[in-house]
Amino acid sequence: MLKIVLIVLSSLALLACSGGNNPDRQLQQKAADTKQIISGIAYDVIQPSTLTFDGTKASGSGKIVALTSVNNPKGSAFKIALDLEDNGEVILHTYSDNKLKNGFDISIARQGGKIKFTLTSAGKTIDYSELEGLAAINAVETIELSMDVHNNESPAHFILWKSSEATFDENTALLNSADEPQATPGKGSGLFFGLTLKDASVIGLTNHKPYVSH
Amino acid sequence: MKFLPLVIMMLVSTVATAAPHEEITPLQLGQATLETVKSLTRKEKITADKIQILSVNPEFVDTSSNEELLEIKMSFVSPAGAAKEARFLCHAVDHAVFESALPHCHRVQ
Repeated sequence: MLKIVLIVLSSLALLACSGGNNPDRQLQQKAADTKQIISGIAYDVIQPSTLTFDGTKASGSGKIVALTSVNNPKGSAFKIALDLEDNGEVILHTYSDNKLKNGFDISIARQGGKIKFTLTSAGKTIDYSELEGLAAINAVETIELSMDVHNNESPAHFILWKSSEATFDENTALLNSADEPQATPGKGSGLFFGLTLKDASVIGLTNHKPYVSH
Repeated sequence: MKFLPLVIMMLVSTVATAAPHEEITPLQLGQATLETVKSLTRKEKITADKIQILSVNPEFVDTSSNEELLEIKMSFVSPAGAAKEARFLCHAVDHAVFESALPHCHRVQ
């Protein structure tokens, strides 16, 4: 009799596990099902938007969070390609929470033919638009940038390159926050990343291990 | 840049002898100094012979975080001929970003 009771209880336990709530599996399923994809990474729309996805890029206005965490909790590289309408903007949120708050945000906006490039974290913003290499970028054309965010430093260490560079080191950087007295405004406190678009298209966004390893 | 190794060697030996610190090795100090010199040459578009190390303080305490840092002050001559100064703070110990033993410095002035 005892054996029968044990078998019945074990079966009930197994049934409960198999049919129970599993957020990790649900997230994986959501990522597999979604058509909201940029460069192979699935996103969730977290704000009502006019965004459209064609399988490779996102266009319009809205806010999306990646259905995966950043590549490395200490630091990550991001490579982005985007087109901006005049007065359009793309904000890349890194090391944020899943609502894209409390992170280290990189904003690239277009004002006529120029870009406005700012870093925001911990309620502070630093504008690097006038930096020589950034001021020379033609905002009318597709903007392709690669960047390191070393979020285990305080404030975060940020390095930016044109994606067309042959090598990505501190000598080829457009902006290296270690060289700038303003440095960066802070660091992120989460492990998510995502985008806010305003009249913009993001053609590609990849996340991988940092280019610079210190 | 040809004087750079000599400058670093002199600096390392001076500080290692005069102000030994259990948390900063001479190697780390040399690496940090090299990094700051490289940063200045990169940013200011000058050669290393235009740079002079004014002071090295391996026991600088950041009052906001109470963290002990390495402070390096330098003077340099800009390409326009102006005399300028720069100040760097380096995470002295176990900064170890990505398991690297290299200290990391950033310019604060």
